[in-house]
Amino acid sequence: MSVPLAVLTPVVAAERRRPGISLLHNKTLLAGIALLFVIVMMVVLAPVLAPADPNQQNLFNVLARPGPGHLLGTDDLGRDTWARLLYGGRVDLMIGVSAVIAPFILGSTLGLLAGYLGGWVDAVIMRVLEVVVAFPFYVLIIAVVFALGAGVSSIFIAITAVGWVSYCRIVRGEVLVAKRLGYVEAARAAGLSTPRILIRHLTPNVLTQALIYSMSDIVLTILAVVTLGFLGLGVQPPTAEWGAMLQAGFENILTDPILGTVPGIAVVITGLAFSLIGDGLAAEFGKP
Amino acid sequence: MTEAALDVQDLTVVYPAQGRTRHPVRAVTGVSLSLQPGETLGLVGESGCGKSTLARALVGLERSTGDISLRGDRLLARRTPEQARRIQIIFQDPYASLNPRLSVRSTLEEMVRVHRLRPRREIPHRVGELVALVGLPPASLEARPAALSGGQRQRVAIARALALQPDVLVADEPTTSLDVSVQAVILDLFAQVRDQLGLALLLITHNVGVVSAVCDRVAVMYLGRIVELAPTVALLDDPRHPYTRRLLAAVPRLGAPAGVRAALQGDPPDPSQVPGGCPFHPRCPDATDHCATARPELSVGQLGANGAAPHFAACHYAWAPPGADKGVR
Amino acid sequence: MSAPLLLRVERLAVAMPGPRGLFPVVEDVSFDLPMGGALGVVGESGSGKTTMLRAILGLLPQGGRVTSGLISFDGEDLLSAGEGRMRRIRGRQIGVIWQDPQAALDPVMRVGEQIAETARAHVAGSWKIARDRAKELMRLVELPDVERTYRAYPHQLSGGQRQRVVIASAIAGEPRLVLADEPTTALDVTVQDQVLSLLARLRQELNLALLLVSHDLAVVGETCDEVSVMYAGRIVEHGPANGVFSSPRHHYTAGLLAAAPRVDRPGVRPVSIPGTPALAVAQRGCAFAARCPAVLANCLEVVPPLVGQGRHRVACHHPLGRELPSPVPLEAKP
Repeated sequence: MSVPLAVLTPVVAAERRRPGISLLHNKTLLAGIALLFVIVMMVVLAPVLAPADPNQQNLFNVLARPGPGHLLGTDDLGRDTWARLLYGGRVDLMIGVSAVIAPFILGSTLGLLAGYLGGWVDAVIMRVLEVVVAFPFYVLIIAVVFALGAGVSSIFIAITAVGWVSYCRIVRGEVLVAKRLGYVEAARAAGLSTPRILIRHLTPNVLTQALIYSMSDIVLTILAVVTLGFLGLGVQPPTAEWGAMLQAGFENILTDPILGTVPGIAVVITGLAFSLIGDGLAAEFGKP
Repeated sequence: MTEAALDVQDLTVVYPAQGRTRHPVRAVTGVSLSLQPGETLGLVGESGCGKSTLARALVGLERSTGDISLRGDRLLARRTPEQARRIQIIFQDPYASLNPRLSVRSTLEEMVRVHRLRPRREIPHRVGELVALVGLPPASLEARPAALSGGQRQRVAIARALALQPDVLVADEPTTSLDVSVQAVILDLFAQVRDQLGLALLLITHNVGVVSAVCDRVAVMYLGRIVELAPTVALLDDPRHPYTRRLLAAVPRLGAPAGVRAALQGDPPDPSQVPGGCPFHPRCPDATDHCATARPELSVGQLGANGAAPHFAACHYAWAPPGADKGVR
Repeated sequence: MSAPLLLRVERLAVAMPGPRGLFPVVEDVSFDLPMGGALGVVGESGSGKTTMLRAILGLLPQGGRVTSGLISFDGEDLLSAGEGRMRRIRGRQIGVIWQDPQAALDPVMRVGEQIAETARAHVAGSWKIARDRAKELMRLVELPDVERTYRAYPHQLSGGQRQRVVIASAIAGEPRLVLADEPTTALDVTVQDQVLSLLARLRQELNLALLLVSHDLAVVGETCDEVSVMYAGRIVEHGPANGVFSSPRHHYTAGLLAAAPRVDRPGVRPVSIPGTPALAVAQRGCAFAARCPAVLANCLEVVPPLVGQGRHRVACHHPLGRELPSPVPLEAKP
C-alpha cells in the first residue's frame, strides 16, 4: 500500500493564530483605526465643519475668546482658530504619513542588502548608519532644513536622510535571522537567484516589524513637522499648521490659552491613534 | 557499471578563526564517499561531528574544498542552477522550512517554473502530481504552512525537493522533530520515493535506530571525519571502530535490561580543538601511545562477499586479530 | 506494593482555554508512584503528558485549570494547596528537570551560584553552607573540575554538562520526587546514556522517586519500573515496563512499538500508524478508533475503561493478547 494520505489538520490548535478572525478581537487595533478615522474625517470635512476661511485675517478681532462664528476663538491675526486647526491637520497628517514612505523604502532596502549580502556591503552601510545615528535626531533634521531652506520639500529630504536608519536596523536584524531559516536555505540550495530570494522569500517575511515601527515613525514625523513649524523652519505662513499655531499661541499664552494648547492636544490625539494602531499590529504579527 | 549518483572526494570545510574561537574550526576534514542511484547511505554522529556541515556543503550552502561530482559531472565552486538542481536537501525543522506566506502550490510551482522543468500549461498538473507523490490530498495545495502539521510540512518540503527532479536527496535529521508515528510515515515516504524515482538518498541522523531500519550502508562521523563506513548489518553486528562500539552500546534498547551503562565518558568534542593523532584517542579506553601520534586512515577490513560493499574503519586496531583486541562490552 | 505511596493521582482532568472556551486536554488519569519508584509516561504530541506534569506542579499555563480529580503527594492534597505552599513544595519536595537545559538556566548567572541559590532557598541556611552544598551536588552529578565549573556560565558548558547542572538544581532541595519532561531528548546519544545512568544512580543513592515523561519508548523501558501510555489525554495502557513493551495490549502501544525504529532489528522498516494523532480528548468512544486496525462498532460509542488483572491494565474493548495464555512476541509486519 502506498503512503497513507495525511488528513489535513482541521481546526488549528490553540496556539496558532488565524489573522483574519482575531483582527476583529484586536481591541487596540480597532480603537486606533476608529480614532484615526474620526480624525481623518474631521480634517477631510474641514470645509463643512469649519466654514470660516483659515487664512482670512481680521485685525479687528485678534485673540478673541470662543464665541459665535469662532468655536475656539481667533489667533493673533484674527483668523479662526477652529478652521486653522482642521486645515492645519490636513497639512500635518499628510506630511507626517507621506514623509515616512521614503525612509521606509530606503531603509528597508539597505537593511535587506546589508543583512543578506553581509561582507563589505554590510560594513559600509553599517558604518554610514552609525555616523547618522551618532547625531541627535532633531539636531540633524534642523541642520538639513536650515541648509536647504525652510519649506515642505526640505522637510521631506531631511526626514528621509535621517529617518532611514531605524528601518535599516530593524530589517537587517530580521534578515539575519530569516536567512538561516530552512525555506531561505532551501531556495539557495535550489539554485534560485539572489534577487528572487530577496524579493519573493525574504521581503514579505521581514517587513512586518518595519511596518509596525512605521506607525511610531509617523508619530515621530508629525512631531518633527510640528517642531519645525514651531521653529519657523517648516511649513511656511500663511498655511495653517499646528506647529506655527503653537508658536503664535506660545507668545500669547496668557491672553489666549486656547491657541497655545489646542494644537498640542491635537498632536497628542493623533499620536495616540497611530500608536494604538502600531500596538495593535504588533500584537497581531507579534513574534511567536 | 553505473556511474555513482554522488561522488565526494576529500571534502573539507574549515571555518576561519574569528573572535571568540581562537582556532579555525575544522568542521569537515577529508571526507570521501559515494552513493549509487537507489541507495540509501546513513550518516550518524553526535554534536560537532560535522554531519550537518557536510550536508550543507554538498548542496552548496557552505564553501568547501575537494570534489563533488554528480553522475560523473564535477561541480564547480559556483554552481550553475542546473547543477544545483540535481542535489537537494530536506532540513530538520519543518516549522522553518516553508515560506509562511506562500501556499503549497506557490512553493512548488516556483521550483518547477524557475528551472523550466515543464511548459507553462503543464505546471498545475505537475504540482498536483508532486503533492500526490508525497501522500498529501489535493486540497493541501491551497493551504498555507500555518494550517499544516509538522509531518505535513515535512512532506511539502520533500515535494519541493522532488519538484526539481534531483539525482541525490540529502535529508538532514528529517524526522528528529517529529513524533514517532509520523517519523515512520516519513521514512516510508523516503523509501517509496527512492524506489520509484531511483534517487540516491543521504540520510543524516543521530538516531541509530533510524539508520538501522532504512539504510543500506552507514558512515559514522567523528570530529569531521568518517571513522567507519560499512553495510548496515555489518556495522551493527561487527563494529570495528571503538567510537562506533561505544555509540551503539549507548543506544537505549527496548527489551534489554538496564545493564552496564555509561558506555562512553566525556562530552562530544569541540571541532575547534582537534587532537593530534587519532581524533578519538583522548576518549578511547583502548588508546595506545601510537594512537596519540599517528592518525589512522580508513582501512578496508573485509571486501564484502557477493558484491556487498566493503567495511572500512579508521582505527589502527580495527582489524587486529581477536586476541589483540582491547576488550569491549 | 510494599513501599508507601508518594504520589497518587486519581481521575485527574485538566482543561485548557481555547477559541471556544475550555476544552479538555487530560481526562480521567490515575496512577500511583511509590517512594523510590520510577514511572514513565509515554505519549506523542497532543497526548497531554506535559500538561499533566504541569498540573501536578501547579504550573499550568495561563487559563489552564484542573477540572476534576485528586493529586496527593505524601498524603497532602496538592490541588487545594495555595500557591505559597506549592512554591515551598516545588524544589524542596518535588524537583523538576525540563527538556531544554539551555532554557532552564539563567545565562548571566554562574552555574554554581544557580545551584547554590536553589539550595539556599530550600535547605541551607547561609550562603556558605549553600555554596558547599552546591559543590557537593556538582560532585554527585559527576561534573568535572568542580571548582572551575562552579564559576562557569551556562554557555561555556556543553549540553550534557548543562543538564547535569539542571539535575543538581533539581535535587538541591533534597526532594523525594523528581519530575522529568523529556530530560534527554535534546542530548546526544552517548550523553543521554551518561545522564540516564546518573539518574539511575541518584535514584538508588537518594531513594528518589522518578516520574519521567518521554516519547522515547526505549529510554522509558530502560529507566522505569512502570509505564503509562497516554493518547488524546487518557491513559490507554499501564503496567510494568517490560511487560507493556514485550506484550502490549493496546493497539496504540503496539503501533508505537512497530513504528519505532529498532537498532536491534536492522532492515526492519518501521510501520506507521495510519491517520494523524488526535489533538483532543474524545468524549465519545475511543479516541484511537479512527486509526485502529481492530476497530469495531462499540469502539466508536463507549469510552473504554482502564481495566485489567494485576498491574497491567489497558483501556480497550478488545485488547491484544486477551485470548492467549502467554505473551505474544512482537512481529514486524512484512
